[in-house]
Amino acid sequence: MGILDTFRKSREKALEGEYKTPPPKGHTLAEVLNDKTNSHLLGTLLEKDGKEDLGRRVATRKLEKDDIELLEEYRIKYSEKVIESEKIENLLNEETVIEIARRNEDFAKIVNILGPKKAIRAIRSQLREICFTDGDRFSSIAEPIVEYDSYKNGEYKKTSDRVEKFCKDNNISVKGYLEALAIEDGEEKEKALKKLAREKQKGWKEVWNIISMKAARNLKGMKNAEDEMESSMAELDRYKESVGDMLFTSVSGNDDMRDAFARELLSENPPPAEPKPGFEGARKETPDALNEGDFNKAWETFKDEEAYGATINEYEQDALKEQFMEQQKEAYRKKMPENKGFWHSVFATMFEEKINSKKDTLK
Amino acid sequence: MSDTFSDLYNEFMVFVEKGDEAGARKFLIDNLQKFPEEVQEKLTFAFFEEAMTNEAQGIKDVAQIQEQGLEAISQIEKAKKILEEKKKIEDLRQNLTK
Repeated sequence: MGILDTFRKSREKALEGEYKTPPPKGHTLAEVLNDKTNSHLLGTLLEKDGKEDLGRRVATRKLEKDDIELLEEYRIKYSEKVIESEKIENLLNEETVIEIARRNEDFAKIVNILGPKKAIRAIRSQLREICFTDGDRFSSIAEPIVEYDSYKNGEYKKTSDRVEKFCKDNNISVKGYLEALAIEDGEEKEKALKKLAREKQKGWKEVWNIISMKAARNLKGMKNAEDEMESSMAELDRYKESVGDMLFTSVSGNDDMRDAFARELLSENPPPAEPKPGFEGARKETPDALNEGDFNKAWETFKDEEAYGATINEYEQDALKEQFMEQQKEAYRKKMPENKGFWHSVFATMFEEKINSKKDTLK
Repeated sequence: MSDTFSDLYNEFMVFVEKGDEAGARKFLIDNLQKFPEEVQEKLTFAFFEEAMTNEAQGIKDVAQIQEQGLEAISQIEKAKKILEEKKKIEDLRQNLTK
């Protein structure tokens, strides 16, 4: 009887009388183990919980009967993670990726090199990977993706539509508004916004004209009309000032907003930036290049501890090598700060690949 | 592939050690396809992550300012209504004095 048959029977016995919900397609234990692209993620979960031995038995095809129950627990965890990741993956499509690329010069070059199809595949694959390996990083990227989706399809779009409607109803040029907001010089921006606020009142002038024309026709009522006009004008001036001030206050001193508006307005990529602080920070915070001597020494120690010499086949040796490399990567990750940025990710990628490239040298 | 990666790694580290961020970025982009597939994927994701985060921040800023703009514009609406009321009162007064 095969391992899976044994497992099936033991599960049936354990769940006798209970309602059983079959796992979704692709999420059964057999499917997970046979999935060449993603089965290593089950191993990641096991390693995270210190179950490397079980992981190694899976890798060396030496599963024992008791392992299956435990594997089923991890299959469920795996399944939950996949569902969590898919939820975010599905918010991304080629159109989104192209739109993001349109506004970011470097990412645009990457998409041009790989093509949108390959880029989206890479992004989805990495999303899945970090969902298993780095929950914090996954959350920090999932949030802007959800935010973006919400903008494109939800509440922000509604706000944007409301602003447009208001502008239209009040004869305000949206373009003029955005242009004013995009002005860098504080004084100039204030002037432009106040001018805009004044221009918006053209419609009201007609109201005043009607009042004054009627007043002119009636001398008796003229004084009253004049008084009325004066108070209306004063009132309007107060509003004019407050509108201009509000528009100005809303953007003054916030360069990010100005930049965002400038991009929105001009559909331009952000200007080539000064070196971002993240580069220097990451350079200092990430460990130095791989030290070959330390790496080799660590391997020798690991071999002794894990009785590498006693292994009998290449599966076992390979699994131990993988385990060692994973330990080295994990040690590197632990030295990294929690709030990682672009350069931390790049350095980690390069460093971890450097470790991967050493696998063939492990004897 | 390992040798190629080692070469690329060493070239990249020259930019890093010089503190040349722009050079390091350009190197990664220009040589993207020479890296092993997994590295290509990770680098693509790092560039995407950076772009996406900036984009979402921009969206938040735009939404925030739109809300404020909306509030400001609402003030105009209110002012307009007050003037229209005044016009109605004036019209009424004119008609009564006829």
